[in-house]
Amino acid sequence: MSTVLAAVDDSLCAGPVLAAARAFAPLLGSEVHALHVGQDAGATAREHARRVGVPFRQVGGDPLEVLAERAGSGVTAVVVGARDRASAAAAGHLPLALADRVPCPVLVVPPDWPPKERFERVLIALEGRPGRARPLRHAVDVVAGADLDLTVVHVEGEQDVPAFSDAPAHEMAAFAQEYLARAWPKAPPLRLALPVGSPADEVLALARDLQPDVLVAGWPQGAGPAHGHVVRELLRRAPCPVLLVAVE
Amino acid sequence: MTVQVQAEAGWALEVDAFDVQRERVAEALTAVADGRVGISGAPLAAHPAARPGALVAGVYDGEDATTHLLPAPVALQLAYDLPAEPVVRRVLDLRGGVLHERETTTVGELSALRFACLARPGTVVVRAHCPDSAEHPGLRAPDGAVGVEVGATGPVEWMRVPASTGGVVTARRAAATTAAGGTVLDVVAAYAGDSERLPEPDEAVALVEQAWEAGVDALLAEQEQAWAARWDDADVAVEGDDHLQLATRLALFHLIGSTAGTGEAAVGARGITGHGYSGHVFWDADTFVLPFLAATHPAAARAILEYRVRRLPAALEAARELGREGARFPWESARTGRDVTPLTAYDRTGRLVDILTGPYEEHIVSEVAWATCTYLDWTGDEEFARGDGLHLLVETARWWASRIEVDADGSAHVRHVIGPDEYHEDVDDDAFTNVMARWNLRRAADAVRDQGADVALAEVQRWSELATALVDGYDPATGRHEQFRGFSDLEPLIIAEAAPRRPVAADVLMGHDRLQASQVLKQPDVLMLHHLVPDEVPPGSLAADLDHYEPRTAHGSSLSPGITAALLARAGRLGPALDALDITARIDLDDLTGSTAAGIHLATAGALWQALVMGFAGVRVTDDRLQVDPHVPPAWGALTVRLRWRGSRVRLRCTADDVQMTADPPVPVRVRGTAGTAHPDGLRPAIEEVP
Repeated sequence: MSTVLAAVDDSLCAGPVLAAARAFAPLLGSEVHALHVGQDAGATAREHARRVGVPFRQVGGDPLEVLAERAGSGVTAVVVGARDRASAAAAGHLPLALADRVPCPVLVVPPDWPPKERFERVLIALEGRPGRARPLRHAVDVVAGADLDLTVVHVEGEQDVPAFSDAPAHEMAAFAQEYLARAWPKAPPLRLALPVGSPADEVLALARDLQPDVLVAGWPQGAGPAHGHVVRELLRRAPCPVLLVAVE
Repeated sequence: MTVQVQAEAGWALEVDAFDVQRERVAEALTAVADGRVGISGAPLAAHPAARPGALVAGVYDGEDATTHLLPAPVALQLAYDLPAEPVVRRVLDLRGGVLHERETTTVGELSALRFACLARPGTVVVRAHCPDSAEHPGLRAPDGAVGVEVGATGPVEWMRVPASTGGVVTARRAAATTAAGGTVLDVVAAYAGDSERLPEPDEAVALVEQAWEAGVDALLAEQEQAWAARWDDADVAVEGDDHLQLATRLALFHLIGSTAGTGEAAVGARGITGHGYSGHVFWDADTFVLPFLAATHPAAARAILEYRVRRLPAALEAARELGREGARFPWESARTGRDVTPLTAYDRTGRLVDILTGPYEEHIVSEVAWATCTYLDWTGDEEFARGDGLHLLVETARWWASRIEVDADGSAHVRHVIGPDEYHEDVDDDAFTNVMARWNLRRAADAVRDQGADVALAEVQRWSELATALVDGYDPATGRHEQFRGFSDLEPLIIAEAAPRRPVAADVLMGHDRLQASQVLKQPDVLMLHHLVPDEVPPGSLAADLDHYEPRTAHGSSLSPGITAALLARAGRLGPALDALDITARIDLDDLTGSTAAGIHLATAGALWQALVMGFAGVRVTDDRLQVDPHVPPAWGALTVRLRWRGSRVRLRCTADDVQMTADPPVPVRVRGTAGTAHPDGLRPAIEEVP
């Protein structure tokens, strides 16, 4: 059976990481394995894993190298904690480095996330229009099969503001249906949001309103430190776990 | 008979390419309808991007806000597939009401024609020249349909789809004959729909048998005759602007196809060309679609009013539930006449927002009365004036009489409403709402007096008193109206200057809260008064209101540019009027809303006609006389309009400096302020008594 690898340590993230992994794994048809990388005692991590019945292993070495090595064939996702969200510089250092190297999605869990048993509501942030975001479409297809409440948000610029918006009660439904028919012909049932403004601010504002269980975002693998600033901002400020999916 | 794929200039919409991105738009533009059934213009051969479908007017499924037009069985798909990169040419012959197509399928060339029988509403026909003698599928159930029954009566197959109440039965008969170069397939299908009871299969089967007996050749000839007759009374010719000419005829084509001339017509925002807006009936039907029909095919206008007449009990009940009197027609309605406006919806930002139009947008009550009077002004239908039309006027007036609040100083007010400018919610004394209410009260009082109706004199006097006391926001000092109480104090944002372009959906650009606090309008509000009831506003106020409100209008509603074009033309501002008219003409053709795939914007189509006829040609009915005061741009060689006024066939040809008019039988007219009579051979300036 495939595996979701939950990277746990002795920090405040241990519990949320395991909870998120256990909520996410059924969507992938995977089981959760906990892994603690480090020479310390690992008591907190071990005890969290024991309590929820997740197999636990502890190994030595550099966390990034070890996790990257083990996130190969048979691993459908790696779940890690966002240890320090107060500092923009520190937020998501390990997660982003992992997302740069591993072929599977990386789920980044904030330490203050109130654990949930199941993922029910998913918010997917698209940087490109749906038709171009193929890896994200794959992620959507995965979660769509689980009958989740899906919202896809694409933040537009002022030049994209439509000319017309007739009756609010009906217009968006009519517009979204055709938008998806053009951009994403086989889209699963989902809601489309097309706010205008700053991408990170708008996605986070919608996340605060919708209170999703997970926020999906694309990560440009190997693009370098000059890219991915929106994702860094999401990792720093999102109120829920962020699933990083590689995009070209 | 051969399949014609040649396009007649000004009379044909050509779709030469199969663009998977725009295919559904093409299908809405080329939909064919006969007032009873509408068929998408999807190719007869299948493709994943295509959406073949059928809708039957007025047959809804579901209850309350979720009620929607029931998808009906698909009867015209063939057993062919289009290749991955299809070659398809479609030509919609507007003159004859026939959609021609030619396409390369995976097995060879297919050419076909199809039409929805204007002379036999509910019947659709296909003649296809097929590449082989393949067996073709019969009726196909709509996606997600439950409780579907199928059967056959002799050579006619049928399929019955139930709705929450009522439903649709579709019957189909087909036969193939071998011809040189392939096989000719004839298909005749009929749709029998009822909103209240599930139709019997025989109802559709009988329609098919009758049509089949006539034969496709005769049906085609009948179709061409029926459309010729409608165009003879409805065509609008714009010489010198080919694009506008085609857009105009396409708009009229879909308006004609939206409404049958019998029974009741529930004309939804997208008619039966698409499922958009769930087929709900808005003021679009009464205010934007009906005038065209009243002036060209009164029976269809009467059917729209019959829809309101039959829902008068529901409107009376709605008023009683609110503790008021009269008839409170709903902002959105469907089968029952109860309000089906959604209470919430996800907006473009992805948030669930409250929808307030249902409880607040009450001006539709006056528009039902306005539609009644528009029909009466154009037809002189005395039976309706004495009967159901009078009831509509009286009960709408009673609503306003019980709705209006009278303050201690004697002034009368309507508080807590939304006007046509839907950007501002819960406002007091919206000028449009108040003036329309005033007009409604006065017209009802006149009707009661004219008809000697059994309404207490005291009640009628009360209507008149309330009408006089209603504040209307007009300020003699500025010569213009204030849109609603406090509008002038809002942020003085002139959207014509502040927005990157217009039209613009200012709600998306600025957000709800900023809009509420600013002087940005979605569509004409005060200006709509000048369009609908010009005699209810002070003489000379059009220019001042145009100067003030047009630059503040975002035109974020597809209803807005057409009405603006009409008013600008009437004001003689032909350059801006042409700009607004151009946008109106392109809304569906160029899919400016991004939602034409969900059906043609029928109100926009009606607004285009109103801009040309009521704006540029300056046609109005006043004092039992047809008034004409044209403003025709020099770039147009001429603007020619065909109308029916009180049984007379009227032809009007206007140029920048000339008006020619004929009428058979003669009718009283007022041309550019001069009274006269239009005769079969032209205008005679002297006032004559016309029998």
